[in-house]
Amino acid sequence: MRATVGLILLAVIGVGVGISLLAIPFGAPKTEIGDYYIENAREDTGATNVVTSVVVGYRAFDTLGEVTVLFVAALGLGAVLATAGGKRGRSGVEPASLILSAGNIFLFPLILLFGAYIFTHGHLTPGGGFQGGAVIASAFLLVYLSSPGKRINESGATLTESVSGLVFVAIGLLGLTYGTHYFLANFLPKGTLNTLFSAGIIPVIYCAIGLKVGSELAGVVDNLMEETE
Amino acid sequence: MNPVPLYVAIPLGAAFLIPLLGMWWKKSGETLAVLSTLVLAVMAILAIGTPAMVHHMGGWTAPLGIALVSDGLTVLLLIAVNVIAFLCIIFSLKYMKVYTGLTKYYSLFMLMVAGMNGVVVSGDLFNLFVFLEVASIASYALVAFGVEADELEAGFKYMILGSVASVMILFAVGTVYAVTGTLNMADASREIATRFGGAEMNPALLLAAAFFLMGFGLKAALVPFHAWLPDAHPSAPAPISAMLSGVVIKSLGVYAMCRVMFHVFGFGTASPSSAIIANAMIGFSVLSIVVGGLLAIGQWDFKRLLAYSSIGQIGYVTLGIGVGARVLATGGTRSLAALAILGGLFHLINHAAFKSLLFLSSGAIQQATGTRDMKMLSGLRKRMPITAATTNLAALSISGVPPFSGFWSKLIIIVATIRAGLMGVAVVAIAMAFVTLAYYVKVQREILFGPVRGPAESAKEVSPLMYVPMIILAIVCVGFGLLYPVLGSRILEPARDALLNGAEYVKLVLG
Repeated sequence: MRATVGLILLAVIGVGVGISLLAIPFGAPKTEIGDYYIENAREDTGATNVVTSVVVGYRAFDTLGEVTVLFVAALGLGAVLATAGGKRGRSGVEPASLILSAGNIFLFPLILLFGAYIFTHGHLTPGGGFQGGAVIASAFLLVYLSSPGKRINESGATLTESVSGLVFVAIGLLGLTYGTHYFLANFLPKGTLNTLFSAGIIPVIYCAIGLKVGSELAGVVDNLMEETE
Repeated sequence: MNPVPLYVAIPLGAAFLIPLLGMWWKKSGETLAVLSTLVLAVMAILAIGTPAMVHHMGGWTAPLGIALVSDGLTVLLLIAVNVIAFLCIIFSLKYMKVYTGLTKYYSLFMLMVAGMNGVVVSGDLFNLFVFLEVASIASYALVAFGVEADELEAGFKYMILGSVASVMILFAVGTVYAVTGTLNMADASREIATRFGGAEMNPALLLAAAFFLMGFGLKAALVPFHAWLPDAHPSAPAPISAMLSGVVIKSLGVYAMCRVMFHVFGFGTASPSSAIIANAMIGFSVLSIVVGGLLAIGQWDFKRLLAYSSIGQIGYVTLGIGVGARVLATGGTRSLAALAILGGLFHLINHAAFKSLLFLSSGAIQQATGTRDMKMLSGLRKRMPITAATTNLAALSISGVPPFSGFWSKLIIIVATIRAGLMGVAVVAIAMAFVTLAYYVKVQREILFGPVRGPAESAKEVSPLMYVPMIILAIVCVGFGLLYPVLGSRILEPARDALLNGAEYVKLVLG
C-alpha cells in the first residue's frame, strides 16, 4: 500500500518536473558568456586551456571554495573518526602478493611524476590541480594496498595541505594589495602563450591545488584505513 | 581597498593556519580563532552605514566573473554572524576544555564562519552554493564532534537531510543557469524580468523557485523540512548549538531564500507566480510556528526545548518576509510590505541574540550541574545567579514580554499581518506567542526558581570566560528593545530597503 502510494506520488512529481523542464530550450545556442570565454580566454588569462581559464581565472573564487569543501570534509572526517576511539594499526590484514609489492616500487614514483605533470601543465593541456591531486592520492592508495603496515607521515600531510591552502589565500590577498586591487587578480606577467611559465598566477594556484588535493585525499584514505577493525 | 573579500579570506586563512601552527603550538586554535573573529566582528560593526559596494573577484566584471556584494541586508547578517561567532569562541575557551582535538574544532569553526560569510557576501548563484556547502559540511562535523552514539546519529541525520537540500539547491541553480544562461544573480534577475516578463513565469523557473524554497527551507528548518533540527541542535557542543540556532539556519536558510527570491525571481513586482511562492512561504511559516511551539511545551530536555523553539521562532521571521512578499505580489501598498519585512528582519536579529544566549546558558548549566534534564534541575537562581539572570532576560525577550526586543519584532509582524488582511494567520501568530510564553515560564519555574535540590546543590557559577559573553548578549537583548530608534534607522531600514529594491541591486552589480 505504502509502496503504491509512493510510486504514484513519484510518478506525479516526475511528470511535473519533466513538463516544467520542457520549457528549457534543448540544444539552444551557447550562452553569451560561454561565447565570450571561448573568444577571449587566451588573451585575458594567457592560458591555452579554456576550461582552466574559467576554473582558475574568471571563477577562481569558486575554486577556492571547492578546495575548502574538500578540506573541511577531510578535516571533519578526521575529527569524527580519529576521536571515535578506533584502534590504530591494521593487524590481521593479509600481506599483499609479490606482484603488487614489487610493482609498487616501480609505479609509485612514476604515478607521482604523472600527477605532478598533470597539475603543472593544467593551463596548457587537459587536466589540472584536482585531477593531478587525485592521481597523486592514488599512488598513496597503492602503497597502502601493497604494504599494509605502512602509514603516511601525518604531519607531512598536514603541513602540505595547510601550506598549499595558505598559498591560495595569500595569492588572493596579494592580488588585493598589488596592481588592480582585486582579490585573486592575476598580478604576475602572463608570459608567452603555450609555454610552461605563462598565464601568471594560474599555474601557481594549480600547483597548490594539486598538492593540497593529493595530501587531503591521501589523508582521507589513511583515516578510513584506521577503522578496518 | 575594498574590504568585502576579507570576510571570507580572514576566516579561511585562519582555518588553514590553525592545523599548521597546531603542530608546534598547542594554543594556536584558541589564539587565532579569538583574533580572527574579533577582527571580523569589528569589521562588521564598522560596516554599519557604509554605502553598498560590489567587488569583482579577480577584476572580471559581473557576468563574466564572480561579484561579491555588500548591501544593507549583507551588513545585517554579517553583524549577526561575526559578533555571535566571536562570543561563542570566547565561551568555547573554557567550555571546550573537556574535549579532545581542539585544533580541529577551532579550524572547523572558522570554516563554518568562512562559509556563512561567503554565502552572505556572494552575488553569484553557484558561488553561494559552494560556500553553503563549506558551512554545511563544517556544521555536520561539529554536531558529531562529541562522537557519542547519539551525537554521531544526529550528525549523520543532519548530513543526509542537509545533502538532500544541497542537491535541490544545486538542481535549482542549474535550472536557472539553463534558462537564463548566467549565474550572476543580478544578471539572471534582469534576464528573468526582460525575457520572461516576470508576470507569466516560465514553468522551469517556477520549478527552480520551488526547489530553492524546499532546499533553503530545509536549511532553515521550516516545517515540514525540520526533522533534523531537534536532534542536531541539542547534540552539538553548546557554543555550536548557539551558532547553529543563532546564525546558521538564518544565513544559510532565511537569508539565502530572501536573496534568491527577491533578487533573482523578482518578488518585488506584482505577479501571480510570485503570489504562489509567497503563499507557500506563509504556509510553511504558520506550520513552523504551530508545530515548533506545540512540540516545545512537552520537552523536558532543556536543549531540545530550545531547538523546538527555534523552529517556531524562525517561522515568525519567514512569516514577516512572506507577508511582505505577498503584499507586493498582489499589488498592495509598498509601505505595508516594508513594515512586514522590517518585522521579519528585526525578529531575525533578535532571535540570533536571544537564542544563542539561551543555548550558551544551557551549556553553562549543563557544565555546572552535569545534566540538562529539567526534571532534575531546580533553584539554580540561588547557585548560579549570573547564568540565571541572563537566562531569565533571554526567556522574557523571546516570549515577547514588553519592553524586551522580542515583543517589538513580534508586534510589528502581527500588525503587518493584520493590515495585510490575513486575520486567521494573525490569530495563530498571537496565540502561539502566548504558547511561547508558556514554555519559557515552564523553563523559569522548573530550573531557575524553586528549592535548591539534586544536582543544583553542588553547582557553582561558571567561569567569567563563559558568563561574560552571556552578559554581553543579555545587554544586546535589552538594548535592541529599548534602542530601537537608533538600531532601526541604521541597520534594519537599510536591510529592508536592500531587499525591496531589486532594481537597485541590479544597477549596483552590473553598473
